[in-house]
Amino acid sequence: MFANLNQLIDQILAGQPKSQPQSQQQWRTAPASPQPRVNLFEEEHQVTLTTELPGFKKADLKLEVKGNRFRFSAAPVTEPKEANQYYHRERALAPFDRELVFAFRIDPEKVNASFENGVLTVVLPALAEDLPRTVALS
Amino acid sequence: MNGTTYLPKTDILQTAEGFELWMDLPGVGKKDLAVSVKKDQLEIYGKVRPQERKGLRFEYPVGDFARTFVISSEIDQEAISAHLEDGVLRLRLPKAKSALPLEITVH
Repeated sequence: MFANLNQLIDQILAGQPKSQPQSQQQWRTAPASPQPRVNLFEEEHQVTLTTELPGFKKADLKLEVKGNRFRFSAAPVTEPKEANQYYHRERALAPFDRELVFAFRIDPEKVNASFENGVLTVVLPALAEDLPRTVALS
Repeated sequence: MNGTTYLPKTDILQTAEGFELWMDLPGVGKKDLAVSVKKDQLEIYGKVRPQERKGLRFEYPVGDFARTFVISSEIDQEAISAHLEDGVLRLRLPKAKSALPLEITVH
């Protein structure tokens, strides 16, 4: 119900015509969150994180790994718009700083990060010494 | 495709030549993007390839982006240009010369 309400508010704010087929097209998110949303994917001994950062440049992003924490942030960025005469505005490029705490320690040597088409993908493998070991029965 | 598409967030700016559209299309590559003009309808469709891994936590939904705009007849459709970078599509919609203000020199 709240999702519908948010959608409606977004639509009103965005000045979208109500005649749009709502069952087919939706607004994806509630009003802008100060922190980027992440999706996490689980694989054996590692977690992959994805987050959408359209408009950010690779050089703006800062990634840090410490123990079981992964932190990602970006300083203020501005887009090189020739004129700032907004006729309609929905997008926001805001600085952020988010830290995620995992149940395992991350191996900083094996972290792999890529930024493609505005999506940051980070593979966070667990530290080898924290992995379960099979115990042989004597 | 499950039939649900998402509306990409879009800014519309007025420029000296006409309009510019800045649209967030994270995850959409050049090959997965279609921009077309049919009569007065400007259509943008961006295909997003979902992750084929086991999800642990979802804070945002993933799906294709689609949005249609009605553009003014003042826009020179032949001159529309598109540029995609870092998940942002920038569309330039210049007005036709006949729609631009004309300065008449007084003799």
